[in-house]
Amino acid sequence: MWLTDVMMILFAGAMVSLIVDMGKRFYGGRRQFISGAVAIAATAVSLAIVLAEWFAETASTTEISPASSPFATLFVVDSFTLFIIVTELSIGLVIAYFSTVYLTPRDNSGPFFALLLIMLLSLTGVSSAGDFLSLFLFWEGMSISAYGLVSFRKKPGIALEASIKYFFLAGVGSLLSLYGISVVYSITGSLHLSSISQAVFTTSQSGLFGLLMLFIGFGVEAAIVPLHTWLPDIYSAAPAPVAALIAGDVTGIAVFVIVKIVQPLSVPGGQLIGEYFRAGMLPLIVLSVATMLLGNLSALMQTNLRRMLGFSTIAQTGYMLAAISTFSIPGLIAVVFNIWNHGLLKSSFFLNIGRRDEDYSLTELKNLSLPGNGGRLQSVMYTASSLGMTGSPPFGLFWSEILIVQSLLLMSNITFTVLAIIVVSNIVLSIGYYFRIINSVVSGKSPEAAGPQARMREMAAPLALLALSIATGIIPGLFIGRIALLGSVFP
Amino acid sequence: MNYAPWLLWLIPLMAAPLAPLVSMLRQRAADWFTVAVAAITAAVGIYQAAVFTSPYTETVSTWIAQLNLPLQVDVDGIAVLTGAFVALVAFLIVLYSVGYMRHEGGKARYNFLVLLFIGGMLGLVMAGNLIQFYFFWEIVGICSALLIAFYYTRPEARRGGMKAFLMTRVGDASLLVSILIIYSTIHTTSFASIFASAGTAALGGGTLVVVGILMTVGAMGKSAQVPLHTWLPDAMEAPTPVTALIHAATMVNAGVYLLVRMYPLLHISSAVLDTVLVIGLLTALVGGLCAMAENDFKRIFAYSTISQLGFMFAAVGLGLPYIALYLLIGHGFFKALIFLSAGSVVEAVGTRDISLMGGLAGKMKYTYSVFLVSILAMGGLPPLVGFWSKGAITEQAAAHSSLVFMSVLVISVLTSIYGFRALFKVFHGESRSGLSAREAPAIMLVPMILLCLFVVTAWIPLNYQNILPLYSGSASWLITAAEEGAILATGLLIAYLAFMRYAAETAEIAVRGGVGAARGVALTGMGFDTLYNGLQKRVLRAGGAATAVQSGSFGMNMVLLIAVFALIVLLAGLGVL
Repeated sequence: MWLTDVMMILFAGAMVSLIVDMGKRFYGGRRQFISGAVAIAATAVSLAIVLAEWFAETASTTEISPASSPFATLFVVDSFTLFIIVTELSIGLVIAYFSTVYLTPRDNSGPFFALLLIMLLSLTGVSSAGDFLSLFLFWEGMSISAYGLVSFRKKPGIALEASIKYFFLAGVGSLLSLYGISVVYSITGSLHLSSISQAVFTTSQSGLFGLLMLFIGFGVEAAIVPLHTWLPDIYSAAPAPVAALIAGDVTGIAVFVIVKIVQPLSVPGGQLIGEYFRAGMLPLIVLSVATMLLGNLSALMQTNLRRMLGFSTIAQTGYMLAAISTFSIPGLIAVVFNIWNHGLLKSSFFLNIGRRDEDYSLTELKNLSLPGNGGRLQSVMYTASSLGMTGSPPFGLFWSEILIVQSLLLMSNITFTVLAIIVVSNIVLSIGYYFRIINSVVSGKSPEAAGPQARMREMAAPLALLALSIATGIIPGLFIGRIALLGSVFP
Repeated sequence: MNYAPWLLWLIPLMAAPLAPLVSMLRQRAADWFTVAVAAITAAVGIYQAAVFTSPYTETVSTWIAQLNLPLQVDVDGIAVLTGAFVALVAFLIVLYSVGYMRHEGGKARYNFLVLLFIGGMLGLVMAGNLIQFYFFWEIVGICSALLIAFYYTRPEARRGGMKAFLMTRVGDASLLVSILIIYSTIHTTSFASIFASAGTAALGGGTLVVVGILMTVGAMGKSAQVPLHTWLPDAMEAPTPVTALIHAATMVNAGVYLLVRMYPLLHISSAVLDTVLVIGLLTALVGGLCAMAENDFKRIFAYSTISQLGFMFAAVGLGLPYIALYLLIGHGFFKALIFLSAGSVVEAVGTRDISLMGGLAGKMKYTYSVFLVSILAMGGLPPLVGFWSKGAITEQAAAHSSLVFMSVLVISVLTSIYGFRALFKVFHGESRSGLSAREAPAIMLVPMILLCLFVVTAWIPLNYQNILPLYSGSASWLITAAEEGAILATGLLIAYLAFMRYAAETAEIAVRGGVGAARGVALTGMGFDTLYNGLQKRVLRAGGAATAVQSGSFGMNMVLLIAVFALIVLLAGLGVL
């Protein structure tokens, strides 16, 4: 089975990276390249396997169970899952490449790449989990690798502080989600993700309570307000490739877990899920509005690029939550596509920051204007990523934001029409801070502390992500077609 | 399959990324590469208009199958005429820019953005459905913002670019919602299907009014209508060829084109048409008054563009979409000529302040001549290209109501006054600051003279080639010509007396009569800039409040988390959930 093959390859890659690192005394200065080559190879082969499956154009849902069990279906792979795995492995591959040129011989590159591969393995597991048990297991694996990666350099202190904050908040989030799982299990006697619909539709009050516990628990890592406060700190403190991984993959996967929970409850577009509308949708609508507004308004006030990007991610979570609140297939398709588009652009931002992440002050907006030809290319990339994040064509986010708004309008309901207008207004509001980035980049004031200059082989990574984003914007059908195998965008 | 409707926009779009590559080889080669691409595009546009016989829609493939969204072009009179016009004017402007930008840096960026800008506008013109239209609409918006901020080391240029992007995005957001409402209702955005559904139960009644108003707001942003007009004068920070492109061939025309294109849908609701009419007249008046107050040579005509675009909106509101398109094309020719002439003057004298100019007619004879022709065309002198549309609007306004007729008359007179005011102050009288000047080089003069020829003769093919059911040439056209001539003469007389013959007295009266304060208001876009600055401060204050509630304290974060948990338990306990 291709999925288990992918997991085995990623796991084996992680182990080989660690083993290779033990022989560092033999090849000293080139250790990060050797460990990196292993990580790149493992990720690339995994991606190739998944892409082969992707292009097979099967619309079926595949289930893998360890044994006939009343508790579990280990993995379920459908078109959403497949697309998300492609997303995380594509971004992961670019980050693995970038890390080989980012890390220095002094860094513990073996453990770094091992953690990176374990993270990708966990993300694959979370994406494809068919029951709460495996979901929780891989979720914890993802969180643990993230703690390790964020505090990888053990300095500056800000990284450790951010990591501890993340650890505690995500830990409490995990506990809450575990509580939600136990509520669902107590109602249905099953751990299958699909049992959530039985829990909600048969026993409305306790079922909804369990559902909300799951939202909050997993919502911590998705940075839903008011559980978002860890995210700007992590973005500010993590090394560039780790920040790119969290921005591009982890936050997206956290949103995708909510999609997986909502998926069994969803109906074709243009329908409300009856009596559960007020109780089920309204809290999500309120949370989505609060999340996008707080994210955008806070981003407007930031003076540091990395914190600004953190709040911008929170706003994006708000948009996606709005689409999820429709409990409709078009809404979920929009979210899955947005995870890809947002991930590409946000990761490209962090990879573009590159080795300037070593000093927080170097990512202050006033210090973004960089001299020289390399600086000019970086400025172009900052500008392009910023324009892309405002939802402008030809970047992919243009389409996913259209799909989000469309999924809201398809509901033909005044609440969702107002929500659509709020989403669109927030997208306009975000122009305020993205243009501040562009303004800072081109203002022509060279920073006093220039910091390390980016090399062409480093800049290739964000360039690749931008190229993917533009390709998505020009041929969106190729991507939406893969996601929408499960259901039409229209009712 | 007919290739011309595709090549028209694909050529500049595909050539755009090549321009920076060519400039790596040789800078000058990139300039001429851009000229060649623009020339080929213009040739395709003119060929398409020449061979056009009847409307058709062509679809090559499904762009996004799941959205029922094909990649298609709609080839009809509106599209082929506008396409040919945009491509032709863009070519002349690109040719002019070879001379104008010869000493500037950043040419790779300039050539790339200009070709993308032209391709985006032509893609928009030829689009066969609203989503495709919106895609190119946004491309045009981005290119204009980046081109306005071309001199990015200047804070004013950066501010101008950002302002243009932000303000037009307000309109874009409205347009997007209107498109998606249509999409959600009839599950297609192809123009033919929308027009077929217009007025039916699916797309009629309140939905149609909402869609129409939202679409109008979308058009207002791009076409700089009050209150979304203040970005256009600030866009003057762009290089002059870019200004000419924005004002004559691309950006601002997009909004009017949208209204004309969607007229079969919009005209069903009289409420929508009345809204368009009121906005158009208000904008035309505000633009005219602001143009009167300005001393910046380029900003005068930025406000003039706002005013003329208001006229086009008014034409649509009066039920004359083809006349609006006629004015769009006529305006494009004479406004491009005005800006290219202004660019030559500004480059020659080194300032944009017309109060420092004067007496340039003798030093820049060709520039003066073409500028005079363009001012006369803008004023509606028969039979120049401006007359035919303005005459029809005046006639229809008279038939509509006396208030609308009077408004149109006042605006028309204002148009003449500010046009001649600029002419007198720049080219006549004595030089007020001893600025030296000399005629523009041939590479800049040639496109100006060609444009001048179009201003003088474009009405002939426009009236006699039966592409559009154009101005019917009513039996009373001689009377209309006399009316327009009288309006122009009135404006000329007032301008002559106020700014030539009794210029000193006028200035004194202005000071004593408190006109200075009114002028100040006009110079800030009739107070709208102040309003937006206030709004911006409120948003930032809200941002400050949002930041203040997030202390970053670990303890506070945990309290928040537990509070959310407790709230849900409480709500569940109370039976709310």
